[in-house]
Amino acid sequence: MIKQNKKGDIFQWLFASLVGAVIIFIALYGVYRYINIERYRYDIELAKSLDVLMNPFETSLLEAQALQVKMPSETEFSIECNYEGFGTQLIEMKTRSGVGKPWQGYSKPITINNKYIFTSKEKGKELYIFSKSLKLPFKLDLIYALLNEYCFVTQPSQASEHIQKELKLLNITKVNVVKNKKDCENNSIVVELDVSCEYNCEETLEGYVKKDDEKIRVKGAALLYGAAFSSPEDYYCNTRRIAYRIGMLAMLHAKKADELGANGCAMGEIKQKLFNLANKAFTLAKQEQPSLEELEPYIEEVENENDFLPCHVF
Amino acid sequence: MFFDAMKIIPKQEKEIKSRSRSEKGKAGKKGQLKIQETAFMLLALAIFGAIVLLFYTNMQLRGIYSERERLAEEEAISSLEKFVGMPEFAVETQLGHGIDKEKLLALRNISDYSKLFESISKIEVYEITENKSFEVYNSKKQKNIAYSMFVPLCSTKYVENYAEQDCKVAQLIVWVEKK
Repeated sequence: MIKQNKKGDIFQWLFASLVGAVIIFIALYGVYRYINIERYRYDIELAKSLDVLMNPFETSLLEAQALQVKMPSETEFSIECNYEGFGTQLIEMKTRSGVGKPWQGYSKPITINNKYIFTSKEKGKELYIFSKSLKLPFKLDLIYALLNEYCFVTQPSQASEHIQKELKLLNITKVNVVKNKKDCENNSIVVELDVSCEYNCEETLEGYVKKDDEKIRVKGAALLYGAAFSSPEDYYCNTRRIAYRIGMLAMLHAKKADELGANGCAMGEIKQKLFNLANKAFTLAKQEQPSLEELEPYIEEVENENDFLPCHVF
Repeated sequence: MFFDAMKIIPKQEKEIKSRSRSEKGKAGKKGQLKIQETAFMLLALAIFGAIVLLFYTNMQLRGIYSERERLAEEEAISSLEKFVGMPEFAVETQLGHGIDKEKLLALRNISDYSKLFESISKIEVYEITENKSFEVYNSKKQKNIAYSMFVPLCSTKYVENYAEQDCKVAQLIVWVEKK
C-alpha cells in the first residue's frame, strides 16, 4: 500500500513539475514575444514622430534653425534614398532595450516623400536636427539629422571660421572642427573639408568634402553640410531629387506666368527661360552624380528676367 | 497441474489476494480520476488564458489604431503649416508666408504633383469673402477627416501698369484618409 502511494506521489510530482515547466516556458515565451512586439511598435511610432518633428524644418521663413532632442534610450536609425521622380526616403529605427536582446532588427520603414534629409547610419542618445535653406532660385530647406559625433578636419580660413561660427550659433555640439586628423575623437566620423569663400561666405562658400574616400564638389553651406553628414550615395540621391523638384517648380512657375499673362501682365521671355531651367534640372536628375552648380547660369537668367517684370513670377 | 495448484492455496490467502486486487483497482480508478481532474483543470486554465489573451489583443489593437489615428492627425495638422511654406504654395507677404492663388491654379494642371501629396486625399481652398471654394488637388481617395487653417490668399492684380498683391483671408482645408 505504502509503495503504491509513493509511486502515485512521484507520478503526481513529476506531472505537476512537467506541467509547471510548460506553463512557465509558455509564460516566459509570451512575455519575450510581447516585449519584442512592443519594441517594434515603439520604434515605428518613434520613426513616424521623427518625420512629424521634422515638418517645421521643411518649410521655414528662417535661413537656418536647429533642435536638440534627447531620445528616451540609445537610438539607431538609417535612411534609404530612392531618386525616382520626386523620390522618397525610407527611415527605419531601432532602440536599445535593457530587456532581452539589447538591439533588435529595424522597425518597418516610414516613407518620407517631400523632405531632403541628409544623414547616415546614426547611433546615439542626443539627436540634433537642423536645417538650412537652398535657393535655386526657389527656396527648399535641407534637413540634417545627427546622432553620431562628427569631426571636420579643415585648415584655418575664412570658410572654416564661418562654419565654426554657424555651428556654434545653431548650438550643434556634435561637430568638432579641428586642424589635424589626429585631434579627432576615436568614435567620431571624420570629414575632411577643403573649402574657401570670399566676401559673403554663406553664398560663395565652395570646395570639396572628402568622406568615405570619396571627394565631392560642393557650393554653398547647405550642400556642404549635406555632403558631410550623409554617405556619397545618399548625397547624390538627394541632389537628384532636388534637381527634379527644381524642374517641377520651374514648370509650375511657367504655368503661373500664363495665369499672370491672362490677367494682363507682360511676361517677356520668362516662360522660355523657366522651361530652359526645367529642362536642365530634369537632365541633372537623370545623372548619377549631378552637380547643382550647373543650374547657376539658368537660374541667373530666370532671376534677371523676373526682376524686370511688372508682375514677379517668384 | 493448474487445478492441483489451486487446491494447495489456502482459503485465507485467496481472500487476501482478492482484497488486494480490489484495492489496486480502486487506487487505479482514483489515479485515473486525478489525471482527469488535472486534465480538466489544465483545459480550463488554457481556455481562461486564451480568453484573457483575446481580450488583451483586442485592447492592444484598439491602442494601435488610436495611436495610428493620433499620428495621422498630428501629421495632417503639421502638414497644414508645411503647405503654407512650400514653394509650390507660398508667396512672401509683408506679414510672412501667404498662399499664392496663381500658383494654386497652375498646380491643378500638373498631374505629376500627385506623387508629392501621397498621404493627402484632397486639398481645397475656401475663399471666405467670395464664399466659394476651389480644389487644388484631389486624389479621389476616401476623404474622412478634414483639417483647416486660416491663411492669407494672395493674388497679383495688374491695374494701369502697376502690379500689386491683393491678399484676402481664406481657409486651407486638407483632407486625409481615415484608415
